[in-house]
Amino acid sequence: MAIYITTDCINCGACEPECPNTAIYEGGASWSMAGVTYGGNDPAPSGATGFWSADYFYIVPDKCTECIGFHDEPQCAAVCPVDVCLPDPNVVESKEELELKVEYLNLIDAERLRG
Amino acid sequence: MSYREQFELGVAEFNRGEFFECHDTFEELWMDSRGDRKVFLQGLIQSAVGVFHSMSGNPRGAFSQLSRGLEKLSAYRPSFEGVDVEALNRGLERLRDAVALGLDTGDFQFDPALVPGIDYRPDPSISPDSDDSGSRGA
Repeated sequence: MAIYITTDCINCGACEPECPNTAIYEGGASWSMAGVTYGGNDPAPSGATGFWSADYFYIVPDKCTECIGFHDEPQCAAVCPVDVCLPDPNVVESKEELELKVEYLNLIDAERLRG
Repeated sequence: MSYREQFELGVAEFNRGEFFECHDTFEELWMDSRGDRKVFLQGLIQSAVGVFHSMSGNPRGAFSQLSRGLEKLSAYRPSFEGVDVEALNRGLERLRDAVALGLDTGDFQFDPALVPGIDYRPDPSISPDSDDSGSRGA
């Protein structure tokens, strides 16, 4: 399943640079995927809604692969000192589904990758 | 800056009410720590963040973080590496209970008088950069 950030978030920003898929955005910011920019009320291509936040860092579920393909564990959760990066019960994905997501993202949005 | 110097800075920030800065200071130490010390630092960080949220009008976040901080710190009573955990926890519990009451009534009002302080008295016989060999609850 994708990771989400709870409203306990203190906005320290430790998580944002750690995401290999650039799936984490500062509260209030627009987000982008495959060259398209989305605002607060826009659903993700998958139809997902409710993940955008005006006040706290948020994670775009369409771009989150729980770091599969990059790390052994979700890096946002690993660096968060207050444990507010948690599995999203609304976006439950198997390991196989996440691996396919990585391949899909590599096809449509290779520019998302850091470094 | 040694571990102790940075820890003292974090304590000073907490006691001055600079909870965001405090969480940042302790977070740096937390990243490089392990074992009991790492969990203890996380308890302090979550407590600082909980107080921050209570001051910032986020009682739900405050309750969650204060509860999680208390859960971790409780294992370190009565004291750990010079920190009077017993006293700190009493203060945090009072604040947490006030937040809970505010959430129940829908009328949380932050009371600065409920913000606890950290009583820290390092053991001068221990090197400032000793590793995290402190035993829990000592």
